Amino acid sequence: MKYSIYISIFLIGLLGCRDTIPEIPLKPHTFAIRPVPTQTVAGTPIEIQLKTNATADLSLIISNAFGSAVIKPTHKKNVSSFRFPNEFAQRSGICQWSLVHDHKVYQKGEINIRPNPGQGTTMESYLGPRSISAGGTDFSMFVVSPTDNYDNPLTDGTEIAYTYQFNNTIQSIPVELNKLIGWKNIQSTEKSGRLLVTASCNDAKSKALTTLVYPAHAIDFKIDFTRNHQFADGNQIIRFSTDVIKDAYGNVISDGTLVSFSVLNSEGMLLQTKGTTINGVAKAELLHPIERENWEITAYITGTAKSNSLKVSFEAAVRDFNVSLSQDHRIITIANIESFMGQWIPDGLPISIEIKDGKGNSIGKKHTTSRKGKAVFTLPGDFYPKGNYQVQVEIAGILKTINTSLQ
Amino acid sequence: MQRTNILLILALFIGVAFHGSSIFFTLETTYDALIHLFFADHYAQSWFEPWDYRWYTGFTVHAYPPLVHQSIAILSYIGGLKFGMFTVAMIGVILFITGAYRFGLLMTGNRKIAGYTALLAVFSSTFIETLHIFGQLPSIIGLSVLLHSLPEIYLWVKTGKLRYFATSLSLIAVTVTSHHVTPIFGMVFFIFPLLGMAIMDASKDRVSNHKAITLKVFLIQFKKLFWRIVAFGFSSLVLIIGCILPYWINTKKNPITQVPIPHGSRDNFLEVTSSGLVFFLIPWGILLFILPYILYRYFSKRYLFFGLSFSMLTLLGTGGTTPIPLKILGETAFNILTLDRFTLWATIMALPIFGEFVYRMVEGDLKANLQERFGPVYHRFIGAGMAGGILLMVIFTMSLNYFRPSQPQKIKMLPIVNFLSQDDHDHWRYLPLGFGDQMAWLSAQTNAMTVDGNYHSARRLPELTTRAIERLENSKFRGVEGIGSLQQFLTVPEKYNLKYIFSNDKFYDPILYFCGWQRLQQLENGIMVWERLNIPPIPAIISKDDVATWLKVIWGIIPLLTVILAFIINIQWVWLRMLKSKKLPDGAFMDYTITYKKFPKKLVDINHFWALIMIGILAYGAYSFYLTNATQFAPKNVLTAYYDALDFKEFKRAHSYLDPDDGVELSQFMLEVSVTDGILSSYAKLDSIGIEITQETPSSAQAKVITHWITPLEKVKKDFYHTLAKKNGKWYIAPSKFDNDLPPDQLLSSNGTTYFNHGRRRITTQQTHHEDVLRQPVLEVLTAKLVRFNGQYSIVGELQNIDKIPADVVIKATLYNDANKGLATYNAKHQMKHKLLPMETTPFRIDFEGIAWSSTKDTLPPTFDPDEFTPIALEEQPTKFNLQCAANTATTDLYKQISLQDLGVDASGINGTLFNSGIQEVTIPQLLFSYYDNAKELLWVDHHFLQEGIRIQRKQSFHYGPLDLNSLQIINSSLENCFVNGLPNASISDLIFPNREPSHLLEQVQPFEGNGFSFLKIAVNGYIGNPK
Repeated sequence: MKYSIYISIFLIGLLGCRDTIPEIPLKPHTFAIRPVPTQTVAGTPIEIQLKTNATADLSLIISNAFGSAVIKPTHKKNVSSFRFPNEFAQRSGICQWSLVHDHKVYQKGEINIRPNPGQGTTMESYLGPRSISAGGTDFSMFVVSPTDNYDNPLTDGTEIAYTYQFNNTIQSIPVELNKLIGWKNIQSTEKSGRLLVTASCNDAKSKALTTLVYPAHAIDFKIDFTRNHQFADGNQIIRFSTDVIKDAYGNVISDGTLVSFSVLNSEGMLLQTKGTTINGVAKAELLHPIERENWEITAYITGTAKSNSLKVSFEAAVRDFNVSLSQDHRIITIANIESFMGQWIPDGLPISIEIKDGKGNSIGKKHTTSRKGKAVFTLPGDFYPKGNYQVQVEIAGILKTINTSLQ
Repeated sequence: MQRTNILLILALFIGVAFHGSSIFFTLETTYDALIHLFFADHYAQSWFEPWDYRWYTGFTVHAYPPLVHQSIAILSYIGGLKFGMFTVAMIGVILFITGAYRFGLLMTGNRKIAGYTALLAVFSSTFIETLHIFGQLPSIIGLSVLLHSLPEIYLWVKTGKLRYFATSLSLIAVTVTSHHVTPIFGMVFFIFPLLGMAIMDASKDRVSNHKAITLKVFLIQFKKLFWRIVAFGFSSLVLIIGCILPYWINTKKNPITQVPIPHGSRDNFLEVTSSGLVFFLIPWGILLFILPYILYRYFSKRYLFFGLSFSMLTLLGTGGTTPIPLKILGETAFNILTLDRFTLWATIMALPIFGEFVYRMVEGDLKANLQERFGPVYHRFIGAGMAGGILLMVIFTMSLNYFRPSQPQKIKMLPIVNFLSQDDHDHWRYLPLGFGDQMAWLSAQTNAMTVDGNYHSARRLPELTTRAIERLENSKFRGVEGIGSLQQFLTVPEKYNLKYIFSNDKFYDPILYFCGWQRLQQLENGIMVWERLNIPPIPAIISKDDVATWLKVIWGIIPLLTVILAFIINIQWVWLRMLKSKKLPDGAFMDYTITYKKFPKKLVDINHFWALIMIGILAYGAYSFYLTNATQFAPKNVLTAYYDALDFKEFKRAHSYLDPDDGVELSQFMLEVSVTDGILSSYAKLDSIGIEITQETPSSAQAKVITHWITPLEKVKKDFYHTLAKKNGKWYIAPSKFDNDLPPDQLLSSNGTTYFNHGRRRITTQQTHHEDVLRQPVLEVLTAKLVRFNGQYSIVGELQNIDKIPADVVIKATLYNDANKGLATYNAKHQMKHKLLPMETTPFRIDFEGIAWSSTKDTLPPTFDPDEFTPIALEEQPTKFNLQCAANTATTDLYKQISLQDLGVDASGINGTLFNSGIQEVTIPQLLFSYYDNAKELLWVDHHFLQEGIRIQRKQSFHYGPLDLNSLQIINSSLENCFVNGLPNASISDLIFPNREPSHLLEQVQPFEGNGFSFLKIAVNGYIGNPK
């Protein structure tokens, strides 16, 4: 019981620490807002003014499509005014506002801010793809987005003038702005060339954008050949060329198009050479064969075009040659390899010999190339001991066999 | 009064002058120095952040103790990175010389001998090699500080004074933070024997002389000193772990699971004599001659433990010469450690004894002995011989890099650094090729990232860790794995955002070309820049392995703190020692100095005998070297020499082996050789040569030379046949006949379409404006099939550029199983033409390559094979595939004037001739063979490289053996999942090419009666080495 006095003092003390809340009489606030415009154009300053007796804790919440902000008033006498920041006043679209005091909304409204092309228009433009194929099926899309000075898209229905230039024609087409952009598909022309496109809206102009109209796929074409003579000497160039290859609309096909020339020889083998077109003409080369041949040449632009078949025949240039042996039969000289005019065959004609022993088994092959219509083989004693051999010489498809006995 | 040691001053003076001036010419061409520089650059940029993105797609610098790097980084704030490096190297030199002095003093207790030791340390070939050839700065600093700590440790154990405990631990801490291996092995090989010696000395105090020390006495003393040893041992263990704790944590987290990288120090030195030279002869140098003396001294009772340690180090240092090191260390340690460090430690350990020897020789009892027995002239002669030997080794070692450069010529990095920082080029990764260790210097100067790196323990990509390659950059030297690994990076570069390659070695050019890369420009330092199109830039956020902040903090603080602490603890004595302002107590080891009175006569004899044996071995080595290099001694020798000369492009020497009677003039030979081009003559390295003498008489011979060449593309085997003749006792080769073929025209003209793409037309730093972006050319996949052949899945097909502009084509294929689970992805490598003109078609084949050897780690093939292929291990059966083809506008490498001039078939296969009708020399022609069945359906695509190039208006013949396709199985041949530039193939072909004539393709195939196929088609492609 002796603690009771302390307990009571403690409790009294606690009561003494209580906070007393003074009763304040409620006095209604008044807000008299001056008329707020509901329509304006971007960039016009917007201010909401009101007469009020509640100055503390007063704010205006504004929000548009980009976000919201809370702004505080400035006070002059008993007029409070809220000035919209530029971020809101310059942005087109609906801007909503609510007057808030002490967590309560007292009044709200909205302002429709329209784009302001009067202060000038700027324009972004895009054209793609930058190259299309002639013929009318392919197209490039031209997109422009005109905006006012504050980067607000202009209102739907604003007229944009599209202008094209192709060859000697320039034409203008009006397009209406629709959902922020104005666009137009530009169909390719039948002729190949450069298509320039530009657009203007109000006072704004885009730069000229280009799309290249490339020729369409090639159509069948013709080939021809030139050569210096008709002999198969293996040392002249035969040149194949196409006529001017065009597409179905008469355009010369694009430079650099690959044309493959397929050559069927008399053994049924397919040889090939390639050319790329310049101004529609492709040229390709091959060497003359080294023996009598009949070639049939067809050129392709694979998948789209094919040429006529061209037949070319080559007469044998080498008709005969001499094989002579040295005294000990160890040096084989092949001479008088003559070409069509009796001249030496051009240097480098492949010559091969095969050495067989007396029983006809091959024991060695040797290759060389001709020089001044001649070639020499030696059969050294170290490796070809004395005895009977058979030597077979092959030049330009001509075979000659000699039997020899090495000393 | 202690006098300043003149010899030490001399050693420091000479040492700093000699090493300090020569490092400027050597250090940058060493193997390691620039790596440390790169690490230093990392710390200079971000001291506490351990992650560096620049190498290996990111790695942590916690993988290497940081002290040296951080010191360079600190110094770099004053005068740049190189200033830091040279300063640290200079500090290393001073620390090493003084360390050797103190080690000598500790061992012998004789200032004079210690002075000699310091002087010899300056010229020690092992030190020169470590500094000037290997550039192992951390190792040098670590070892030198360890040498400094030895006297302190000895004094702690011997006297028990806490001050020595502090000094020894402070120095151990510095050692630990500069190099991790040094304290661990130093503990075993230096400190254990030192402790043994301390106990031995303590025992000696108990008895009258060394002979009286018995095992019992020794054990008693050991018991007495036991707690001091334990205290030191335990504390240093704590230091070793604690000071570089993040290192150990990182090692635990990312264990070195990679395939061991071959290192010369593990070779058999007798077989690989170059390794023997670098890792045995040079470090030992003149010490080899006095080995008996060193062993004799180290096996005396006081040094007994050093003797054991020394023998062990010597033995381990012999690498793979004997099987003993492998047995002692075990497979793992043997393959991870580089064994040259054992030799380094052995030779450092031998220095005091060498010092003692020289002392006795110059002014001690050995001098007296020699003069008495052999006369003063002989003594002088031996002395001069030794001095000459030392000098010879010094000059030889210093000049090694001059005569046999281990690095490519110094590359000017500025153009590359500028290139990388221009035009957002550093938004992609780059790869240097043929840079040697200079790649580290490049990395240090740029913030651009590379997939490669130069510290192989930190590698992370499995493509790298599963192969025994140090770097991709020098992959051609790394056998099998090298080029294989490189090819994976080149084929699938988008995986690594790898867009630029800097090539300093044209060896790699063909593989770059055939993998679809193109030359961009040659920088003004001669480096060729290659680029690959269609590579996405590196994402803005890349992942990293983060570590706890406290680890970063201690890693950043402790190392330099150990230096500061060691400085504070030791500075007083260093100061006193230098200024002699106050007499210092002599170390307890000074009591055990011995007097050199009578040099053992027998030892002189034995050492003489040993030296004679060494001279004999050297002479024999020189003689056998001469014999195998006597080039015209036998047919085999002359052929080997001839091919060697050709391989090294020493044409004059090659010509000297040709039969002079055949009348081929040198100028003619040079002309003929210089006009041959192609993969063999320009891009190949002779790997092995086998010579078979088919017929031989005393005066002539016929030989078949079987050569194996390493080329960047594939391994080439080629046989050559030669006739040889012996004239005047020398063998000569009969010169081969050259082709007499003459091109038809002298002057020719050619027209063609060439292309240029401006890139960014306006000079601006902004992102490229959309107007400058070219449209991707349109391709069409004509056929694509998933086939199984020889147990491997491949996708073969054919596609066409159906656009009006040339296209650079990249094809990426993914395999799926029935449940649409992705199984594997890979790109087309060189079985296609990557550059297509408008309307050109190409066949293609995509093989699915796995990461090589990931499953066969233990059976690494021992020899090089660049076209070694590791098929991917697929878990399930693929049944579908997806093909993503992307095209970009190509402007280069569009040469198509290679014609198929002639074609014939015989029993062995196809023989044909190519003809170059244009005006570019084709360096490496490639043939692509497409196989078709009897319905002309594509079955398979194969490639064939011609070994020689085709010059303009000339022919080149080829031979190709077709494959047997009977086992080929077509699994899926649908075009359903083929996409071009992200759009479905079908929609493109319907829109752009609705009326394709399919017969054109079918008409261009060659009927061929083969095994499992009925038609063939040949496509020609070619790499032009020097476009004009």
